[in-house]
Amino acid sequence: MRFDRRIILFALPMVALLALPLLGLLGGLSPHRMSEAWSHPLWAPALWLSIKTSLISLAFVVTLGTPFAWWLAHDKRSAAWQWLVDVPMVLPPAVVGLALLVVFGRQGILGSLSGLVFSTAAVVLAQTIVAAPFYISAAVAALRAVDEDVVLVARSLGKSSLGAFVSVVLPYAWPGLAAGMAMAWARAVGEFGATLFVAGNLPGVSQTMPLAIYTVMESDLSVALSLSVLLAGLALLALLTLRWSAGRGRRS
Amino acid sequence: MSWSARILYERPEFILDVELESEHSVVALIGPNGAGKTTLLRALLGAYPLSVGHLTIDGSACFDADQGLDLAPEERRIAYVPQGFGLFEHLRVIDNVAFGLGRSSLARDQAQKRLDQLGIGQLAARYPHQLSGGQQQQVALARALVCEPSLLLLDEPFSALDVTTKRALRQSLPADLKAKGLSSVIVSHDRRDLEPFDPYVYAIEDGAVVQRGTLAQLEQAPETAFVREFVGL
Repeated sequence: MRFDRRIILFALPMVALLALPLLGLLGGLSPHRMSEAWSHPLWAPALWLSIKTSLISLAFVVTLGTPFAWWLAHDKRSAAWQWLVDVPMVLPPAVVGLALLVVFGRQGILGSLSGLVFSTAAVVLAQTIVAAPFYISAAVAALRAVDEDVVLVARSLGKSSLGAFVSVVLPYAWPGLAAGMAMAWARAVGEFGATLFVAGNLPGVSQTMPLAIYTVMESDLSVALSLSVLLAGLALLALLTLRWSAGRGRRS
Repeated sequence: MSWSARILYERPEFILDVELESEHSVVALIGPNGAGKTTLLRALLGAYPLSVGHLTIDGSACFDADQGLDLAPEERRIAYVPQGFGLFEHLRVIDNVAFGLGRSSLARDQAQKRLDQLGIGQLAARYPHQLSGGQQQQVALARALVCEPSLLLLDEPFSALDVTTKRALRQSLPADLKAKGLSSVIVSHDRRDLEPFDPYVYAIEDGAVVQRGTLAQLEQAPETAFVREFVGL
């Protein structure tokens, strides 16, 4: 179909809006400020905590989310549970955090686990709950798209249902699963509101990069900016790695 | 070689209820789109949980609802070549063929031998998308037959092929199947595809068998508009 170039005029404002934060980040950057941030005591523990917790969360999201996604993708009776995936996506993260605090607090339903709040485990819990829907939604679409006949061929050739899943379904669905993992991981790394409510902002325990940026910003904006660039660079790198991997999967 | 089946598969908007019984080595399923032919193949494979029916191949039961017997697809020894051949796109030709034989190097040797016998040994290292339609069909058949199934299901085996390849395979496939003495079920929309197999035909419409017989019998007395058109009257 012939493309009407006038549409670009209407698209440009959105392009500008989306580019704005990136420009802000890069514009505020200078070697001097970067070295200043480098020597700041908060960044290293926060970065390490962010990497550690987001990867653990991603592992939970994938191992627990994939069977759920498979169920949602293939069993009509599961439709009633779809809302469980949709709700956390539309709930403000602070609300999720508050709700978790109510569940795990001393007076909560699972009050016996009250040691969980304001701990690293709580960070992982918050990240997992907030990030999981992004992975599950992508995984449901990817798993649904796998040709039923190809799976049936694998079964007819002697594979059990788990065997067929591992040897055929996963390779076929990989590009979609990888995209979902990238989204979920990015969401986990950026998690702020739910973490703050249920895990607090304790250096080395629950102070992830977004919370460290928030904390540093109160005293030194330029350090906060450098930390932000670091975090954005890291997220971009992960995104590119997963895109590359998904692209390879699609090609083969 | 003989087999028989009764399949009753119910969905809210569609009911498939057929009985098949054949001493013929090749059974053909014909019918308009949406009649339930592919669903029937999948049901024979064991893709759906069924509460009524049976499937017996050479005297041994794969599925018998009355007895509570329902073998999983991997236990039925039924091979399947779906429409479009269903090759595993992420695996090389040799690994496609060796898929049903396990992961050992012995399996790959056996697969290579089979490819050599078919005269396509040089394709072993290629991926399915690098093959022509005819080659894909050969690989899919090799993969299906390497496990020595008791029944072979072919869904539109000629539909994705160009005219020349189609003509060649119409000659060779019936001869191959006959040589192996393997029972098969073939879904087709084209009478010319079926003739070389000399099949026993079941015409299916709206999930039910509307007529059965050899192609000659169907031609003599077609009972529905579809069958009349199919036999070219």
